[in-house]
Amino acid sequence: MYWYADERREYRRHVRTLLAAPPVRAELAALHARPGTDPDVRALYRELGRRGLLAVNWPTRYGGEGRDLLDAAVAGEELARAGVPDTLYVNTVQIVGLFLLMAGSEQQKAMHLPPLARGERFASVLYTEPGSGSDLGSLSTVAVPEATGGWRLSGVKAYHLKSDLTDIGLCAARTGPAGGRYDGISLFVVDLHLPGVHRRRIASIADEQFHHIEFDDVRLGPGDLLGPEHGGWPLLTQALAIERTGLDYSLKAEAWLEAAGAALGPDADPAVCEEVGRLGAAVDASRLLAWEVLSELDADRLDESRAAAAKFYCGELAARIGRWAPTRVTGPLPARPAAVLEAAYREAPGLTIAAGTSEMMLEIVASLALDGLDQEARTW
Amino acid sequence: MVSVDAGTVRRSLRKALRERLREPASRVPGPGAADPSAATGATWSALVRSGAPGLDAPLEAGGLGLGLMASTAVAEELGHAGLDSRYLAVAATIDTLPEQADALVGGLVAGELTVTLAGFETPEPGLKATTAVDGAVRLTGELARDPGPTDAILTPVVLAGGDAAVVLLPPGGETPPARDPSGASARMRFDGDVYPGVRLLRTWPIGAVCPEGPAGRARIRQAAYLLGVAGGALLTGVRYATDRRQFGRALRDFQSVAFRLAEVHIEVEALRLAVNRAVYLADGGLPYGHRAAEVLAQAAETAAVASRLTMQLCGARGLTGELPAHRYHLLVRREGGRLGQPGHLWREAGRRRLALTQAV
Repeated sequence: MYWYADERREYRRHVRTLLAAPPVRAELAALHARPGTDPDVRALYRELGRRGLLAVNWPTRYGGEGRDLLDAAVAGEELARAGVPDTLYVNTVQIVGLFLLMAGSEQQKAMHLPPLARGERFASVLYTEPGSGSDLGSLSTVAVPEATGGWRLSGVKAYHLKSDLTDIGLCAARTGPAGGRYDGISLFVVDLHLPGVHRRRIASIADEQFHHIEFDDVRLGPGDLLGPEHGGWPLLTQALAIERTGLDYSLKAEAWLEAAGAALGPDADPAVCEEVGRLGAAVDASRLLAWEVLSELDADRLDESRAAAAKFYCGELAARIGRWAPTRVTGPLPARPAAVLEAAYREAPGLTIAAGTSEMMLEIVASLALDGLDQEARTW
Repeated sequence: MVSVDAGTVRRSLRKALRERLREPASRVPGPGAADPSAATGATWSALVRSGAPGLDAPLEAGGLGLGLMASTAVAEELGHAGLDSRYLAVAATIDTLPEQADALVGGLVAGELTVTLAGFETPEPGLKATTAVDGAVRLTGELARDPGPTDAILTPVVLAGGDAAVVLLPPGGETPPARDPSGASARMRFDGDVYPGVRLLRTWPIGAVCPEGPAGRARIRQAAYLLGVAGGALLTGVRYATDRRQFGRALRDFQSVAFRLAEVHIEVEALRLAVNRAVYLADGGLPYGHRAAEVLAQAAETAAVASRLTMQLCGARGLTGELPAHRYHLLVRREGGRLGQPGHLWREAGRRRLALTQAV
């Protein structure tokens, strides 16, 4: 059973020891001492990268630790519990890094992965556009091939996080014939420091601000194409499923409930105790769902329905606790939990939108799981 | 406890039981049937033929010592088929008996005696017990019990000093009529007389926060039963929504229906993992009392949500004998609070969680 495996406990202890190192604690303390929107966490990440805490499951030749996905999840849990903001980690390591490992050429892996693993460079995920959200097949950013090789990239990507700090972007663009919605999409690793890349902030109610990136005829080299030309869509759907373990959302739910619980205390009103009991069990169930998906991925199995179910459950739960906690915890609180709960309420609405809306997750579960249930019902 | 691979045992057991329970499940009567308990005898016979009563009983009592991993598999299959829960009461009674085997344990393991749980719904037992010099037990108070066949009854009682215990009332008494096998409870009155054959079994942790032992194990079995109820209700709803066509298409093809089914499916899967973890902890000798309280409350609420959706999808047919939907709806009422109401269990678990959070 994965939830009490001894070897994970040992690695968890190791991670906690690394996180207790004075330079890491100093960076965390500095971060928590300056409340406000969009803090720059790169110095903290460099400390984490130096200690091998970012790319735990990447091969050592690409700067990773060569451990398995479940150890990476253990590290991810401990980072979150130590108060490390997770967006750069999720985008850089879990999404773009994973994509490069999955579909990148040897040259791309060798060039991009080691600095990402060290926390020296960071990555953005650039799928969404102002007119293209859940329906990614409708994206309009284009990459036009040049006769001399390479592409010219034009279009706008929007509503991504931390893109003011990142160095590369995983960008989906239309390259092929206009016939099919999905056939002509390709993926690129774009250097965000190139001429023609214009970034600006879009103010949001959440602590983490959105960003808007315009590509104005940006020149890409032949080596910037990730995976086959016009063949980005299957990669995209596969990667979307892999990134949807729900674990990051489950950890937010856990942290917020814990902050609320510490403030409420055991003498809380019976009605509040009832809510804490119900939400606490749901947090633990969300973690089981996330680890179930992780265990399957670790065994090279991908159940898209299960992943969507985990994302739905964990995202909805985190959003529910984010809305619930600040309305139940009243009165003066120490600065840190007060800031955590106040920010949770503002972050909550985005949790059922990011990484696939809850409606899309239900659509996936309904389309993939209900047939199996119907067959089971008929054999009973 | 015997050490074997839990997954293998559960899969084999469930497969074998599903075959054996198919026939009793087909006998569960619809509304208005002459004999509301028509499936009860056949269910018990099928379980005894499968050796189910002894699966979770200690080796020294003639059981197989397979632990909760086995008895929860049986419980889940029973709930899935919409069959009665007497098996769970027998397993709980075996748990409460002294470790050394005696005739009563032997009879329970052999399936010669069936038991019903009564009086565990509320935090305070409704019965008081005093013992006479000769060991005879006097009972005072009222007890709500299931209608139907006259089983022995395992029930909590308050003792003279204020502690609580469980007693086993022998089979007998009237069989109250009911409109359905899970129908409204019947009341038994006790006027302080000595009741022959009543056996005081052991102390019972009434009022304890997240108890372990027989009370905690009974909660996990009940949760597994309700997981089965939720799963059975969901499959019934999915099947009907696939077959039933309105406005020229299957009900399932309406997003308003598909999304609700998908949500319940996710809740059932989350519950399944939570129940499995509680079983793993209890069978592994790890702390599990808080998990037992949580999974029972979670299971009761999930079963209620699943059966409510299925009743809605099945429309008027769901209220009749044409479809099995009603059996889950009726079971939720009785079994959802059998060992405590979800609200009480959540408060118990929530208080414990808050105390731990403060301690950290």
